[in-house]
Amino acid sequence: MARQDPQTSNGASESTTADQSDDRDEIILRTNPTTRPTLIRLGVVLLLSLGVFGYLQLNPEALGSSDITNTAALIILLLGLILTVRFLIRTIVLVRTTYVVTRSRVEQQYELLFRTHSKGIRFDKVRSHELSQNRIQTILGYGTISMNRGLGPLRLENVDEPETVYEAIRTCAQRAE
Amino acid sequence: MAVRGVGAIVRGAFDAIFRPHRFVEFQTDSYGASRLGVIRQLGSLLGVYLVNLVAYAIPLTLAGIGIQSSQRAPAGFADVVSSYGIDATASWQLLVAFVQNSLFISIATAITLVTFHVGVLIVRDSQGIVQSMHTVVYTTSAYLVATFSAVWYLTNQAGVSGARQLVRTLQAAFVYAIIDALGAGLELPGGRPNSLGVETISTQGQWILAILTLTLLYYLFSLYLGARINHRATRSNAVIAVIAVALSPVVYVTGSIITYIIA
Repeated sequence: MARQDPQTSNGASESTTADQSDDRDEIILRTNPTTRPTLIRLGVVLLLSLGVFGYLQLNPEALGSSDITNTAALIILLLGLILTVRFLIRTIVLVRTTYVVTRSRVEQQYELLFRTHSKGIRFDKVRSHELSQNRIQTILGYGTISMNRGLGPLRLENVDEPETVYEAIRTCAQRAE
Repeated sequence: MAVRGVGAIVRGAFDAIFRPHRFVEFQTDSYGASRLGVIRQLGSLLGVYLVNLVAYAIPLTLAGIGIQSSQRAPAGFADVVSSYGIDATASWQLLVAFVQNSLFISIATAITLVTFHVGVLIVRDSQGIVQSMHTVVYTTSAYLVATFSAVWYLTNQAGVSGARQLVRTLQAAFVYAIIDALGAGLELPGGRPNSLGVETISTQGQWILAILTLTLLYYLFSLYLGARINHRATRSNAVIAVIAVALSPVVYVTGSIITYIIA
């Protein structure tokens, strides 16, 4: 009865395992979410809030009395400021986010101010996946890819060229079935 | 531990202002679906609400809001607290003021919960009472508390009389609009306001009015987000749920007028 040399067989299996592991971790696709929609929203907010604020400042009696008009201008200013900060933060987060698709999993990675966040799903755990694009998203060329909705979901937002990314995910998920 | 607690508060305040969707979203994969699980979750949310309520009402009470110095403690209460060496009159006055200060916001929270949940039920998007309660508890703990605090400031502080007068005028005009719509012919103690104008609003008053308006907008927007995220409602259905909440003052005043007429 032939006996395999344990060292050789172990070495070979370890080498095989390592090769398989490398193969599974091979990056198929790496992309960053687009900041286009957020920057557009930021621009609209700045334009509207500064426009309305300017109008109210130039027309102090627009709402009946100068004090009431000043109050309304203050509301617009504060709202505009809050939305501006919100969209700026969102832009920074999107710039620091990366979506990675390997042969074995899809991951969302985010790093800012020495804080790292990584969330992923293995393809053999994917039970559902969908690509959604409304009219505006289609025009601007981005979309949202959701996986395992309601089951510990992963949601990739602002995905540039979403059809390409979704096709890669779909193919890998099918292979893992 | 303390740093983590402070960090959580700072992060919560940041989310409440800049990321309200993170503040109200309900983790659907972390809650159970069984009846016992639902009861446990409701209990947990009630605990969060009570902690926030106490955190809101205690500073108000200690600041003297709602305390009536003429009140005397009932005999039974006096006997119990005196045995522990506590001043019965002072503790009774504090207790009554605490209950009173908690009552208004509790009533507002209950009305919000009922009208919001009825709203999502009507549009057939309800995912459960737990989701509604989660939305309302976190909305109340931030935005309704801020609204009530702004109203308290307007009511009690000096230097904001113009703003106070404007808010009272708006409230009276709102009630009279419903009285006129019902043809009730009733009169409020302060009379019908001639116009919505006020002589002058101080800078302080303008800031309080601005903050009050923003907190109300946040309150309604967070309910909209709650319907969209926690109940997965469409945009139009979420708007309907918010309208149901926004109409609750109309329902309340209409009900009060009709009750008064019948009585």
